[in-house]
Amino acid sequence: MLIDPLTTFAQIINFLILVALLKRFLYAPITRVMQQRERRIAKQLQEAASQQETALQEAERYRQIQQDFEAQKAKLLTQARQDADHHRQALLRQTREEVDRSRDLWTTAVHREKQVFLSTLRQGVGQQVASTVRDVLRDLANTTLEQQMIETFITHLSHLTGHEQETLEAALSNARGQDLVIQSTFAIADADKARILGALDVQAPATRVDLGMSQFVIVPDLICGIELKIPGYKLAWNLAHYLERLEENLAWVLDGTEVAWAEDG
Amino acid sequence: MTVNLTPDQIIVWQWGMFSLNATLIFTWLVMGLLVMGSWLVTRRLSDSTQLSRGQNLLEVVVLGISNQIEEISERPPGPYLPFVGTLFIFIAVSNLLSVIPGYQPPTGSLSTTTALALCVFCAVPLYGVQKKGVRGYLQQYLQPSPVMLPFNIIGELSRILALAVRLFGNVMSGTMIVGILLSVAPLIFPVVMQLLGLLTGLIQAYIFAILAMVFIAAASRVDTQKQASVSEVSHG
Repeated sequence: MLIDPLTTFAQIINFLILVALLKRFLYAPITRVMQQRERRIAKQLQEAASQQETALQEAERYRQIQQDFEAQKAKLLTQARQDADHHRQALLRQTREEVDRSRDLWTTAVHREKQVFLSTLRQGVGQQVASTVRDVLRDLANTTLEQQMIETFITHLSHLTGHEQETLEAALSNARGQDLVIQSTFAIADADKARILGALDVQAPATRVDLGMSQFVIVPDLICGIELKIPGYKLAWNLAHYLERLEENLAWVLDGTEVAWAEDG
Repeated sequence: MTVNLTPDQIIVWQWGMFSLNATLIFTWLVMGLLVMGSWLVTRRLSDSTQLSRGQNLLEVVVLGISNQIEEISERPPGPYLPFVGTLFIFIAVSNLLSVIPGYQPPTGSLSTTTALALCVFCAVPLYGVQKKGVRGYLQQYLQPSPVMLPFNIIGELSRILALAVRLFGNVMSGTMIVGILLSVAPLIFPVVMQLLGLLTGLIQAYIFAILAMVFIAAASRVDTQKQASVSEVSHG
């Protein structure tokens, strides 16, 4: 018989034992390990998804921060440009003001130096001209400049025009004796003083001024000449007029030079 | 030449009515191989993605069996895995080892296949009773009408008989064919038949395990369908 009952029974027992052993040593541990791995992988996937979500949020946050930073940078740049422009304008304005102020100071200094120079020149030229004329008159005409000037002054005083004579009379009528001053750069001889006062007396016979009270004053600044000064009237006979014209001409030349120099500079 | 139809006839040791034949010895050999192999592999298991080859092989086998059970039963394979899995692994290993000269596959013994079929025969009602109770399980023999009771019982017995004889016939015939061919054409051709025997052995293991699972699942599926219909009625 192909079926042995004892063997069959033993095989049933063997098979049941094998089921129990394999359940203990094979299925249970393998299933447990696979479940642990599945749980771990699921956990890792969940963590990865969570980290990915976190990373996306972080990326979005950093993107927002970067945009804010760019906007802030642009705003600061614009503000800085405006501030720099304002500062540059202020510096330019300040520099222009300083330049204008320096130019004014310089112009004032130049003008003052010009005045000083012209004054000095006027003095020098006047003295030189007077000296030269004095030498010329002495050498060529055997006379003195002062004497000729006195003569010419008396002549001029004796030939006043009608209007000038009326003005002189009006001035003498309002003046007193000590108000009449005759200035000169040189000492006038008494005879000449008398001649001058005589000429005045002739020109203004109706005056009540005491000509004997007149003052003869030596003024070196006149350079060369004689002046009759009464309150409200002045009759000058000196180089001042010529020197003033010379000074005007020189000033005109200097001004032209100054303007040209300023335009070149 | 003496040809043994079954390894039961190879008696190694006998004491009275108890005899130790080749079927039992090779069964213990296969059992020892399986248990020792499993123990050696599973004593150092890793739940990471770095696996040893042995663990990888065992996981593939266990996972494959679990998937097959799940496909057939349409429920978690946990309760069925030790029984059905052991059926497949024991039969497969017993058949595969037949390439070793001198080895007699225990599945070539009608006693072994009968024992396995009896186990299935007992497991089916046990799983059925576990799922739906004794009364519920026995009622399926009265379906669709009590008249069908004898036919259901005959069908139950016949499929168990078919299960045992199919496996025995295939394995025994494979061994017999190789034995006969060795005497007729000793070169090359028996090797081809041995290779074919490996394939046949695996297929038989698969068929045996799948049929066992189908029988068990059929008993449980009736229960499931009934529960579903009861649930629909109660909710309807």
